[in-house]
Amino acid sequence: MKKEMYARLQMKRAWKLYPSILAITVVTVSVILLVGVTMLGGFLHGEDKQKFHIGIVGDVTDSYLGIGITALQNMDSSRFSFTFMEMEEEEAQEALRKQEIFGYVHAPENFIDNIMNGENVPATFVTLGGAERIGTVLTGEVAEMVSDIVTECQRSMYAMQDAARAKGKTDGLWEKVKAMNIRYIEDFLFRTSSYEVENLGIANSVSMGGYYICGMVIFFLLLWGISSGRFMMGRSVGLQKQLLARGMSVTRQIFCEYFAFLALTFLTVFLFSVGAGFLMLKNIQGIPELSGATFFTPMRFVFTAIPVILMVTAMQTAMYEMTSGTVSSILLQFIVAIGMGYISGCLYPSTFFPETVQHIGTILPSGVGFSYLRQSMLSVPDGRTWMWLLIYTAAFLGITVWIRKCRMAGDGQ
Amino acid sequence: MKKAWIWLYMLTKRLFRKYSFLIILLLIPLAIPLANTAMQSESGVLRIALCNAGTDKNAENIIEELLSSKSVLLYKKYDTAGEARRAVETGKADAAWIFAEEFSRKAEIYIKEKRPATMVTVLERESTVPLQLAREKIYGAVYPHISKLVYTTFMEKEFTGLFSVEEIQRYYEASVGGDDIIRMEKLYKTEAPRNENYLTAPLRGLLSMLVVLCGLAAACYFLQDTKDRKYDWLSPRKRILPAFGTCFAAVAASGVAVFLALHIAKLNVGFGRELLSMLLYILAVTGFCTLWAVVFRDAGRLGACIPFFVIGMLALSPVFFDMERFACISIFLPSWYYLHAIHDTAYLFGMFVYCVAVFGVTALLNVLLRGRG
Repeated sequence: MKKEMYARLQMKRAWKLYPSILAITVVTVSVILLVGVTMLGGFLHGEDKQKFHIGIVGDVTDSYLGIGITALQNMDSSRFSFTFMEMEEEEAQEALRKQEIFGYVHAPENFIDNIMNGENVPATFVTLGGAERIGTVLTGEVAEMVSDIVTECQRSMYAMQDAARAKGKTDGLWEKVKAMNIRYIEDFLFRTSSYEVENLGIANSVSMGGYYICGMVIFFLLLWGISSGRFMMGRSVGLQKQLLARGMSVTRQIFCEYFAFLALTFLTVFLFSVGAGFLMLKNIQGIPELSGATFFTPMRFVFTAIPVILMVTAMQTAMYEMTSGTVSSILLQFIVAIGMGYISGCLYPSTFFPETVQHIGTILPSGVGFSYLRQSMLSVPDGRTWMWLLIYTAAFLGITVWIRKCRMAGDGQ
Repeated sequence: MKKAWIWLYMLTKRLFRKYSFLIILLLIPLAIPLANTAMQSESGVLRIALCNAGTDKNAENIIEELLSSKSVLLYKKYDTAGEARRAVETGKADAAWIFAEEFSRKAEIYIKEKRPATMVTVLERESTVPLQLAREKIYGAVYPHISKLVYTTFMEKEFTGLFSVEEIQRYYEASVGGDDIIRMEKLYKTEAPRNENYLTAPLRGLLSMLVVLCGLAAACYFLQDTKDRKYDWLSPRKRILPAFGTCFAAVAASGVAVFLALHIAKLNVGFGRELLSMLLYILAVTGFCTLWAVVFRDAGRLGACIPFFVIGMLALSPVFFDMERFACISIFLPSWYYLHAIHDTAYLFGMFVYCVAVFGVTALLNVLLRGRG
C-alpha cells in the first residue's frame, strides 16, 4: 500500500469515528467548563462571590457583639473580605455542610462583657473538618490573630491597672480603662492607614483567571487522549505487519497515524474555539487577559497553541503504542492526564506546591505546554519553551517508532 | 458457589496477565506515598516577599518572627526593595511587604501623633480576597510593637511624671493578657489523617476515580470478550455473571492497591472505617460498572463514554470542591458516597442502600434488555 493510501485510510477512519468522539467530547468539555466556572467564579461574578462568608451564632440583639458586627460590616476594612451572616446553630451547621459558609462563630452569652471584665470565655470558630479548604485555613489564621490582638490589649490594660494601683492612683481608673479601650478600637479600625498598597498590575505574568483558562485548556488536551481512544485503540496490528512486509516502514506508518490523530485533535480544538468565540461576545469581566477579546481571539489562540497540540498528541500516540488492550490504555491515559495535570498546576496553582514539586511540574511536558500557553497570553512565547516543545514532540514520536519496531521484531521471531 | 470462586480466580488471573495493568496497580501504593512526602515539604497558599528597607531593629525582629511562624503564607526574605518588587512583577511572589526605612519612627507618628504613617508598603499584582486577608497578618505582625507604644504613650499622658520609662516597661513586661478568646472546633469529629493538608486532600478523591476507571475499563474488556463470542455458551441473561466477575476482579484489585496506598502514605482515618468504606465502595463501583456494561453492550461505546464518567465524577464528587447544588446528580455516583463516608458515617448507610439499588436496577435492566434469551 502506498503511503498516501495508508494516510487516507487513517483519515477516513478518523472521520468515521469523529461524530461519536465529538459527542462525548462536548459532554466532557461541558463538565470541564463547569469545573472551570466554579474555580473562576470569584473572578467572574464580582466582589461579593469572592468574599469569605462567615456565620455568626449567638445573641447579637442589643449587645456589644451586635454593635461589633455592625462596625465590622460597615466601617472596618474586613468588610471587603468577609460577609457575616447571623444564623441559628442548626442553620449554620447545614450551611457549613453545604459549604455555603467557610465557618461560623458561636459566641457564648455575654461574650464581650466577659472579655471586658477580664474573663475570657472563648467563642468557638467551627469549620467543617476533614480536608480543610484553603479559605478555611486562612480564615482560621486570621481568627487566631484576632484572639492574639485582644489578649495583647488586655495585657496593656492589666499593666496600666497594676501600675495605677501600685501608686494608689485608683480614682477614675475605670474611665482610663475605657479610654484605653477606645484608643485600641480606634487603632484597630484605622489599621489600614499603617500600610500602603501599590498594585503593580499583571504585566509580566498572567492573572489568576488567565492562569486557570490556560490550565483548563491543558487539562482538556490531556484528557483528550481518553476521549479519542476509539480512534487510537482501533488501529489494526495485522495491517501494520502487512504494510511492513510490503515495504512501508514503521516510521512512515507512525507518521500517517499521527497526522490523522493530529487532524482530529486540531479540528476538535478549533470547533471549541469557535464556541468560545461566542462567549467572548459576552464581554467577560474580571479576567484582564480577556478585556478587548473578540470573536476571533480564541481561534487565534488555537493557532498559537499548535506546538502544544503537536506535543500532546505525540505523547498520547506514544502512550497508546506502549500499552495493549483497552484496560491498560485507558488507565495509563487517565493516570498520566490527572497526574501531570495536578503536578503541573492545572488544578491547583503550581505556586501552592513545594519548590521541588514546582520544579518537576515545570519540566514535565504538560508543564512546558502550560508555560507556553501562559506566555502566549501575554506576548510572544519564549524561544526556549518553543524548543522544549519541539524536543518533546520529536522524543515522543521517536519513542513510538522504537516501540513499534521492537514489537514487530519480537513478533517476527 | 465453588464454581463462582473458580470463575473469579480465573478472571482475576487473566487480568493480572496484562503486565501493564499489574504495573499500574503496583505503582499506586508506591507513587502515592512518594507524592505525599513531596507535598509535606514547605509550601504555601500565598508567597510573600519580606524586606526591611532600612536597618530598623524592630522591623527586623518582626520579619524574623514571620519567617519562623507556621502559616499557609510562605514568607521569603529579600535583601532589597528592588528584589522584592521584581519577585512580585515576575510572579515569584504574590505580594511583597516592604517595611519602611524608619519603621519605628513611623510607628511613633502613627501612635503618638495619630497620623497615617506608612510602616509597610504592600506590593501586589492583582487585588484578590486571599491577598486582602493576608494583609490582616501585617497588622497582626506589627501589633505587639504598636500595642506597647499605645500603652507607653497612654501612661505618659495619663500619669504624667508619675512613672519613669523603666517602670512603665517593667509593668508591661510583667503583665500577661487573658486566655484565647477564640477556640477552633470541627463539625466533623473525624480526626484528619496525619499527613493530610490542602495539597494532599484531593489524593483520596483521585484514587477513588482510579478504582472506578479500572472497573469501567474491565467492563469494556468484558464487552469485547462478548463480541469475540467467548460467552456464547452462556444464555444472554446469565452473561451478567461474568460481567460482574470481570468488574469485581478489577475493582477489588485496584481497591486493595488504593487501601494500601492510603495507609502507607498515612492518609487514612482509621483502619476500621477505611476497611468498611472500601469494601462497600468496591461493591458499589462493581455494581455501577456492571450496570453500564449491561446498558451499553458495546466496548467502543462504553469506552467513548469513559471520559464523560471520569470528568463528571471529578466535578460532582468532593475531590477538589464540593458542589452541593448538584447533589441530585451526585447521589448516582459511588465516589460521592465514599468520599463523604470518610467523615460522616451516615454516608456508609447511604452507600449500602446505593449498592442494593444499583444491583437491583442492573438485574432488572438485564432482564428487560436481554429478554428471555
